[in-house]
Parts: sequence; structure tokens; C-alpha cells
Amino acid sequence: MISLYRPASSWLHNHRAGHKLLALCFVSIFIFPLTSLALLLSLLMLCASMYLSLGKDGLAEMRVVVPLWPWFLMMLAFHWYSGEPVAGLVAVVKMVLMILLANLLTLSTRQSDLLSALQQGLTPITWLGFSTRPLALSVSLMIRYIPVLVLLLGQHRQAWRARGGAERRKWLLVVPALIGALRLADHVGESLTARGGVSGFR
Amino acid sequence: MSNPSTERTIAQIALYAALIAALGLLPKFAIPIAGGIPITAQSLGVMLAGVMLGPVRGAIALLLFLLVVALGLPLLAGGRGGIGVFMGPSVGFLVGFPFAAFTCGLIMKLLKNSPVLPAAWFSAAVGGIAILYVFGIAGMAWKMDTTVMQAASVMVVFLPGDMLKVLLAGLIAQTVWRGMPQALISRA
Repeated sequence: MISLYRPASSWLHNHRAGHKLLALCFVSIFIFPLTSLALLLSLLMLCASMYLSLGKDGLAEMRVVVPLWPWFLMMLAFHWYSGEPVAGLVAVVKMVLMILLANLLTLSTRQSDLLSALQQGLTPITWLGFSTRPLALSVSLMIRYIPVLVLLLGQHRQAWRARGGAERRKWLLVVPALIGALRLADHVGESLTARGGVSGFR
Repeated sequence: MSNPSTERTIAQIALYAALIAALGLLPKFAIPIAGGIPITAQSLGVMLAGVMLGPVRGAIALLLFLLVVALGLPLLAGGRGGIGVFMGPSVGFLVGFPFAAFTCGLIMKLLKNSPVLPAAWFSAAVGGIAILYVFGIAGMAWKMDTTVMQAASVMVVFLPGDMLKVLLAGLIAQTVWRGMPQALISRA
């Protein structure tokens, strides 16, 4: 499965997922009330140097903000219209900074590490008698379902084509594919129960 | 399906969460009446999750979807993902997803005795447009530091596409209900 994680060895990869998550929370809370453009720009430079320190083509990872350019343009336009162009610039720089910082965590941390950090963070609920296993099971089930759904839709499409169905009406296949997927979910549920359920064999 | 097992519930919730992801992977299609603004099928999945699964499971399916996005899978329409998306201008929509699905499911449940098609249309319109837009516009106004009216004006271009999705959600719910009535858990 595709992931935004970027395998590499850098100082950032070596930190624990939970620590990075906490650090991101604190930094976001700190940045949120800032309104000084100069300060935000220097923080952005700092952030860019962190990308640079990730090794070669580390800086290229900053491209995640590029697709958002229509939003940035709109923000600048709205603020220009209200006569506060600087406030618009502040809002744009702040948003770019926050997204880039969060992206640092995403590209340097494996999903599995983040999930275990989350499970660890949820330890208090296990004291109340809840289990974090259904959560982990749901996450892995969902990730596994995605390619299966794509495959299912592809099979329906091939059958439709073999019967001479018109290509432009292929959206009609959504319903049979959905019913097929729901049947599959029922089977998966029964199989899980048969194999000892969410809590596994004890 | 009066008393479904935990496992079956988890399997269904995960399925709808995956469906929302799969809909986001579909290529964007531009509709002419909206001036060619590309719309995605993702919010169709939000409406379907609520209408089909009912309020609580629908909302949980969306929370699961958001969690997996936050874990770093690029499942949002346009291949976006990671924690960064919660810092962007569309954070309001993401936060609104579970509430939208909850509302869809709740209205569907309240309209238990009316025919499926109009009930699904109404639930999808209220949950998938009204509630989702309230969250989305609030999020945009906050993140973009604009007035609510300015943020709301942006949404005008998305309205035709979303109305189309409401139509589709109703038709899909109705057809699935005919073929597999027990799948409409919000009515069970």
C-alpha cells in the first residue's frame, strides 16, 4: 500500500513516534497565536533547514504545499479586498509552516510506529476494561479492504464489458459492486468470529 | 441482523471507511454546470456511510478513515494525507465528516417508516451538505482568517456537485435496499 512515509535514515527518523507527535502538538500550540510576519518567516526558514537536514532531496519533500496554491491565492485576495494584505500573508505563511511541520512527522514515521504510539497513548482506557485491539484490527482491515474494493469494481467492469455493456454507463456497476463488498464484509465478520473474534484465542 | 456480532460490525465499519478511501482514489470529474470545477466522489462515501450504517457506526467509520489518513496514508481526494491535512484550509470538512455521517444516519433512523428514496435524499442533503458545510465553512474562516461570508462564497461552486452526490446517494441506498435489505443497517 502506498504511504507518505519516506524511508531513509536521518536524525528525525531515529526519534520515537510518540515523542514526535507530542512535539508537533506543542509546536502547533506555540505557533498558533503568532501574528508577526518576521517571526513566522524565520520559523519557516528554520523548518526548511530541517527539511534540508534530511539528506538529499529532503527539500523536495516541501512540495506537499504546492497543490494548495489556489487556497493561498484566495486567502491573499480576500485579505487584499478587506484592506489587510499583511494579515493575508501572515495567514498563508502560518498555514504553510504548520503543514510542513506536520509533514515532517508523516514522512519520517512509519504508520505502524504511529499506530503503536497511539495504542500506547490509549493505555489509560485499558485500565477501564476497554481494549485497543478492535482499533488496531479495524485499521488493518480497512487498509486491506482498499485494494480489494478496487479489484472488485474491476471484476464487475470486466464482466460488464464482456456482456457488451456501454462504457459510459459503467457507473451503474457501483451498486452491484457495493452489494458484493457488503457480502464480503459479512463473510469477513463471520470468519473473524470463527477465529476467536476481536480478542483472539485465549 | 438484529444483534450483529462485534466482528461483523467492525468488518462493516472498516468496509465503509475503505469505500470512502476508494472513492477518493477515483479520478476527479469536472461537471459543466459548476464551471468545470473538479469534484470528487469522497463526500458521496460520507453520505453513504451515514445513510447505510446509521448514526453511531457511520460516525465511527469516518473516525477510522480520518485516523488512517492521519497515520500517513494518502487517501484524501487528490492523494493527500498525513497529519498535515489537519493543518490545511479543509480541516473543517475533515472534522465535519463524522458529524455529517452521524446526521445522515440519525435522520435516516428517524424517517424509518417513510420510503427509502426520499428519506435517503433528505438525510444525505441535511448531513452531507448542510452539516458538512457548516463545519467546512467555519474551518475555512478560521484557517484562512477570513469572514464567514467570504468562506461561504467559496462553497457556491461545490454546491451543484454535492447536490448530484445527494441524488446518487439516495439512488444507491434505494437500489442496495432492494437487493440486500439487511444492508441498510440504519433501518434494521
